[in-house]
Amino acid sequence: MSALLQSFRVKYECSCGKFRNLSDLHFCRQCFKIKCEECACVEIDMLYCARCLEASTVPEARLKKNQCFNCVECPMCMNILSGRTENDKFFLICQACSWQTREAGIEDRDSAKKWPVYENEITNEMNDVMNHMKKLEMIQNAPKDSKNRKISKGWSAHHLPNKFGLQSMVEKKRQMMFPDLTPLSVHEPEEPLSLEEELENRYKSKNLRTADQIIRQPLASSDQPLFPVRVPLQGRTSIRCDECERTLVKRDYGVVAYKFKISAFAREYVPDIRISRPVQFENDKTSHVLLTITNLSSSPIQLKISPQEKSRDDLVECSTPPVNISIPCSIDTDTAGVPAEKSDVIVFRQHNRIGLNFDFIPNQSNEHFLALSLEYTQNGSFGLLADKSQNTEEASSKVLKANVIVQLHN
Amino acid sequence: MATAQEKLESLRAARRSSSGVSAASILSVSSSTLSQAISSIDNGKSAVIIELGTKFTKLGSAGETTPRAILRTEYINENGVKIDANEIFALNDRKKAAEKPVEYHENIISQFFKFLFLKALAPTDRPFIIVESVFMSIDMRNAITKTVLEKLRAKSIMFMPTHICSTFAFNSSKALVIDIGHSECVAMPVIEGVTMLSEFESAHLISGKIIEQRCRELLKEHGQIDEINGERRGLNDTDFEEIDSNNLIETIAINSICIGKERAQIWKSGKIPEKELLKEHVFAMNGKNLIIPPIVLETPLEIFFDASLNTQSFDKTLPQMLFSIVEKCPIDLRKSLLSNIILIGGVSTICGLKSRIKEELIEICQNAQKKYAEDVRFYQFSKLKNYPLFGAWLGASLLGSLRETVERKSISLQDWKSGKLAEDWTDIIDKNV
Amino acid sequence: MDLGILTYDETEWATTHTGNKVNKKHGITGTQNIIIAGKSIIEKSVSIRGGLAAVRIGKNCILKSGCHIRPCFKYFNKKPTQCNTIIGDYVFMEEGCIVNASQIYSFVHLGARCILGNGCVIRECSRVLPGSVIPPDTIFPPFSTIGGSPARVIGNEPLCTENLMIEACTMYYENFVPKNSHKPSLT
Repeated sequence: MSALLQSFRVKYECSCGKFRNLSDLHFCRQCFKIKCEECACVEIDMLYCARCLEASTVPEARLKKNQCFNCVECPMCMNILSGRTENDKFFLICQACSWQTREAGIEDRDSAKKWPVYENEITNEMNDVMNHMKKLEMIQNAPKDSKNRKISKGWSAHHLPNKFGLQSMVEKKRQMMFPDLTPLSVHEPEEPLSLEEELENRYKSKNLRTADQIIRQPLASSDQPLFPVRVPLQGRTSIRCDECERTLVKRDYGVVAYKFKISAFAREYVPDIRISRPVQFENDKTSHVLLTITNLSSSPIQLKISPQEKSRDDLVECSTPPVNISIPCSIDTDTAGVPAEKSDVIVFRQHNRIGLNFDFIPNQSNEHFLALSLEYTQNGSFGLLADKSQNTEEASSKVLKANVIVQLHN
Repeated sequence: MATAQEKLESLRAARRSSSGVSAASILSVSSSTLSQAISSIDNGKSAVIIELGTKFTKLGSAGETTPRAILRTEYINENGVKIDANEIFALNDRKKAAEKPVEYHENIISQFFKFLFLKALAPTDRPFIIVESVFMSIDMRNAITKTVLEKLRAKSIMFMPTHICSTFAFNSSKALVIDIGHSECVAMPVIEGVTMLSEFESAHLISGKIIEQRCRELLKEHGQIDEINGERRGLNDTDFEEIDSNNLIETIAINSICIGKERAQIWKSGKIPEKELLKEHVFAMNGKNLIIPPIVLETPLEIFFDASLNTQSFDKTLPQMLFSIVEKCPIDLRKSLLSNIILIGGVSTICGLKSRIKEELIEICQNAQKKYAEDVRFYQFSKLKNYPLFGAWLGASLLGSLRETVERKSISLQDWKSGKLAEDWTDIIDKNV
Repeated sequence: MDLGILTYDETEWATTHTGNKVNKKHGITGTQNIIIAGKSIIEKSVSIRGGLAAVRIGKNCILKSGCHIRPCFKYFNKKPTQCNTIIGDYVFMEEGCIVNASQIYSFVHLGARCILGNGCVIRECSRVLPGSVIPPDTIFPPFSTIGGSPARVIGNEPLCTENLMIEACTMYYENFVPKNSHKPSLT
């Protein structure tokens, strides 16, 4: 939607120094600062499958190994597989590349769920190795633990093997600190297979296997066909301000919820500047640009706009003096209270929108950017404490600032 | 699962009561399902293991035997521009790093990590283990530490070198580890858990990038296009653009094979060998057919073994590298070193590489009249042919399941702020001495 | 940029009592099965095939010229059956879209000449880039930017897309005036 409104032409400065579209920015109501997704903390609060939109929390997802059990993707082109029935049995087919599960040698199944997935053959062996390493770790750490305790110096029965069956307590302690280590056999190195044997084993298919296909299914060896791949789960984020740890954006419960429990979009707290008409450039003469400023917040705003000095080559020189205006909020229907100012700069007023005309001199180069700085005050409802109806006077006196760069050229 | 639940309860009780785990619970940790259940329900979250390669990044959880995701080391930034691995790893190359300020590179690294984690694991409050190449630069390491501790708010971070990680899975006490990756090949022996760093050898010539370059040259020389009207012609620039947009060079490099020395000599002399190993491959591309003759699929790896093919580089060939490593080692190790070779890295999955290495080693040792190559053996998992892709990751995952060791060797945010740097292999050498 | 005033020739357009503005040169068939909620704009050469199945379009939708909406069909026991198409509120479809989708939820922006495959579902607040081809039966989560052929999720939409779409669609509708009316030129 930002493409329709071309909102990428007006960029606001975030508190980390980068310039971004207003629709990508958030406003922290506690520290009164503009935050973007880069400088704020992004956390994953829920994982969901992109195909079946089934939600799972983070611990659940870990059990599922971040894969959806219901959905499978085509191994060739990574699109979703659709099910078809034939003779009461299901098989899957990819609509984009016509790959079928029959090509991988999987028989048609009775239910559309539970398609085969490759298992890791060495899991058991690795678990043995892990246990062995854990025992080694205990042996390595045991003397360090025991250094802190007061053990009788000199002779200690721990290191002696339990030959004579003396003292069961010493035996127990010994077992704990130095468990019996059956040496784990090494996975023996083997002779390499000859080239002919390896080529024989290689799975023969019409197309060469690409790198993307291999990394989606690392467990499918070169002598095995590619199976359908379980769809990986994706994360859904919630954004939190890094300085005051307040949550800025939190989505509603449910994967498909597009509403928000907590939302603090910058649009609702910072005046929205838009270019109203395409800009006509007249070389070396004063050109005009018509900007509309909309107040989408819940409080009237006292705004002072001043063009900034030409500090960079691509900024244009603006000759309009700073303007002081007040814009009512969208809820107020009381437009009669606003004075109908007529000046060279203010072109029109309508509810919560105002149009301003800025004069500038185009650059020599092809790029023309207009730098503006906004300073505004509100009636106190922006702060977080305003929700609890406290301290609105303090909050209302705070002057909020924003720097804007407007792209005048196409 | 009912008895497993009871055991879990006893384990939790043990953890709550004493500082260590009681004897009974350790001895009951035997079945694989139980240990997996423990690792998922346990109070402390398991570590995140990342291996950053120049082509692929492998990431996953400690204690598991397959990485959760293998992704390409590249991402698309907010302006829609693709940032590839060269930019991400720019700090490794001193000349390139000096062109832009450090913050620029740190920013790229932090964006890449955010991209990795938005897809998968929730990284906050978990220890991190990064598997790194032994020669990763200090600037890069510090940039990664800063990103992980400050931006991602991880609990702690630890670095492990690839070579020693690869030996964990095989539980071997001595091995010659050869890591053939996309950008370079680094080989060194690991004996009794000690990485013998001074006996290392590395070469930029032996890498995935060079194979792709060679495939491109061979395709230019021998490839043909079959047009719709039946005409056959050589390849021109537009064809190569289409080939690049399909990533076809990479696919050819992955599917290439490593042939024996005799056959390679026949190809080199310009003749076609009698016995046909691979047929020519036809690839349909935008209405035309690209004919890939067998020479393109069979000979790209010759550059690893034939010094005459690349006269510009001073790097040794692969068998010469291995021979010189063995020569550098102490006498008592030499004979058995070549019987314990571990090959990791994406290039090692290519068919026929191991048997060719064996053939060349036998020849080179015979010429030098040494007896090292009497019995050349490789560590491999025959059922898992793609193992070399994530071999180092797997070793780090096994290490990551040992909580206390990980805690001891990692640094946390407070340590980092107080100026401590992440431990690396030079520290270990100094401390042990 | 503000959406400017668009004028239309009153003789070519029909306005319904619910506020829908429909161009007389449309290709809509089977109007008894089509329900359009209100305040929508349907330009010329838009074809909606109500004869196949019921089509429900929400309020404040804008369908630009050349769009085709065709209800999808699903296979049940080897026989294809037509299913109803539901389009939500505040949906903006640019020129030349071909929609075979089964459901398009609210606040979606479809770029020009995009093709939505049979039975696909686009959830709220998403945007489809111009020229993208969406394969059949795909489901896209909310707030996704969809592009490419075959289409994939290539980005995320800003979270305030709902407000932006409401603002843009209402502004478009209000600025869509007949040629002879007196609308002040600067709004």
